[in-house]
Amino acid sequence: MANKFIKLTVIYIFGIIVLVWLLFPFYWTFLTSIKDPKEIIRVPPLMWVSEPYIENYILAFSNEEFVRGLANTVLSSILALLVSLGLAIPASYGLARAGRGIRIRGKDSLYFTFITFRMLPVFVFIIPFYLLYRSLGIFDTIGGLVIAYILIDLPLAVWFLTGFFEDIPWEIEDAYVMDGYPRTKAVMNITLPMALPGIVATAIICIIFTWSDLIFALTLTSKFAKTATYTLLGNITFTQVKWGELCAQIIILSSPLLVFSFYIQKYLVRGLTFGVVR
Amino acid sequence: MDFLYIENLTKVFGLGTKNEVVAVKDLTLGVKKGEIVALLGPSGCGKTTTLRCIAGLETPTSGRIYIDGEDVTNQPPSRRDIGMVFQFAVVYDSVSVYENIALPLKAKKISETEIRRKVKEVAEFFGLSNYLDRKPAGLDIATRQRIALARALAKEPRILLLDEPLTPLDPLSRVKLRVDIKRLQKEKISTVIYVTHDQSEAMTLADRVAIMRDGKLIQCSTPENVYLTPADTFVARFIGEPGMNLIESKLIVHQGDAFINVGDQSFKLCSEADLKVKKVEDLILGIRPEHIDITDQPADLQGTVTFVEIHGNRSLVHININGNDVVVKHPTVFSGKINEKVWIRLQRDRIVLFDRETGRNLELKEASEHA
Repeated sequence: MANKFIKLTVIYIFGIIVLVWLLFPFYWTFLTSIKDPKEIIRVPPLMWVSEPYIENYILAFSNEEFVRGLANTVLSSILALLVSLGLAIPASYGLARAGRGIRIRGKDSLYFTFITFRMLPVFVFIIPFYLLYRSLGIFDTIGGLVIAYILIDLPLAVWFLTGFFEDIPWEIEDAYVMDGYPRTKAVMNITLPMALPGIVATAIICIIFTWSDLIFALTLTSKFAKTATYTLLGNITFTQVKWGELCAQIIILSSPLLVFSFYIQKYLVRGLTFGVVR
Repeated sequence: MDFLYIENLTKVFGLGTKNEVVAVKDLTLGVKKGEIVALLGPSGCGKTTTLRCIAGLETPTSGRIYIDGEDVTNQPPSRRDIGMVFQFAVVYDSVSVYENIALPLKAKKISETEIRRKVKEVAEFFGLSNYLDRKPAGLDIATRQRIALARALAKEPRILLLDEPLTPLDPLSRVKLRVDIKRLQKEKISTVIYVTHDQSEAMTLADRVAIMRDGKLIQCSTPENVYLTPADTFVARFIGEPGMNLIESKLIVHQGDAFINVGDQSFKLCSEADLKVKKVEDLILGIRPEHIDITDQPADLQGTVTFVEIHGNRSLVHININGNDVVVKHPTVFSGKINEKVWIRLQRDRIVLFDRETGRNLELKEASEHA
């Protein structure tokens, strides 16, 4: 009994330390975003505010460059995600199903190739990409950014979804076929709905990666297609750092992901453990 | 041609790769209308692959499959009109039991009243009438498997394929469902292919048992034939509990009589005129444990009792005869002692002789006779 109590206490203390360590920066960002300029530079800083100062948020939304950046982030992330899922769902289904009814030559090497793209650091790509994009004329375009983001999303999606598809008992799909329905219908009516939690989790993880991307945006865009992460840097000028506005923009940029992740927590945990265990 | 005819079926997985696996090799099998044929064999022998080829879930590497005289080898499963039940009880939890059973009928596009009638009928057969309106979630495995069976049967398929449907069930409901399947075949007269690794299931259910090993069909015959005249030593040992006794011996013909030599012992098998096999010196003598009698009078062979298992009022007696462990099913509790010397007598008409090199039954001409 006492032993269990000690164990739980240790777990809770450790958990609280980790939580503070993870959440404090976020809290500080939020706090700064609702402080007025004088309070931001006050020494020693206050750990709370008595009266929220929302001017920073009004400024952020009236900042044309930031709003366009936000739109670019949303657009490029979602387009890249849709294309990636469109390719990854059939690919993963095939990889998982290979050897059971369908044949894929070199299945393992194919799968490994997908994963390898994920292992390479992004910095390997950026210089060739920059040169390539310049000569192809897709530099600083949403389309160009989407192509780069597919490179992030696709391997991740194939990796996760293959695990999910492998975990679905194939007999259910086969039984549906034996009940007199064509295979395509069996996939649409049986297998895909069963894989939905996995697909949702995969989508969220992909979105998180592209949403927070800075490297590709910084290298492959300059003006028109700048994403929100890029435009955030505009708050750091030669003469000053606009801390209030910067923090407000960070909160605006990250809140959709936060809300999203909160709602699909259970899928997310399942999705994450799937990829790791396999 | 038989109702279902499988001709030289071969299925290779991973053809041309280093992981190439020959699952089924040159299998030919005919099944008559209304017959239950059990595909029996150890796991990995290719029985499920054969079934999936019949279903159309796998494409044969070579060979053809005919149903009712029609070549269906390249037809998709949905057009073959076959029902199938899997080891894993497939039930759609999101819809009611009624909808589950009605699903294949809806694919056939028949009228709603007709569907209602057929579902009711088949549900009654499997004792599911009370469950029709509820969802299957929470039902036990045996009931779920009944739903799967009802669904496969509702559309009155030309052939019903059962892939170890009883394996996940507890022993009691296994026996109950086994009776149902037998009754189903009697009343509905559908042709059934039944895959199992459980010989008692195969022997009790099937009209004919097809025994497979390493992708090849070894023997296909009635349960009685398979039991009494196995095609080779594998079948002899695989069928029966315990399997057939296999004793290394020699066949000697001397002065018009045929003798069997086991080590330094010898007994007269029959007269040379009655000998059904061509003279092969080295062979394996096979005899079932219940076809041996233990006696204290001098008989065919003498050995030492090594071990006795008592099963209620019967006993299994292990006797060492010149290094061969021979098991005898004794009809009463065996009263003898361990290490005691006893005589055994082999029932002559139950002795089966196998070639020692190939293991084949020397009296059977063809391995897979279609009797």
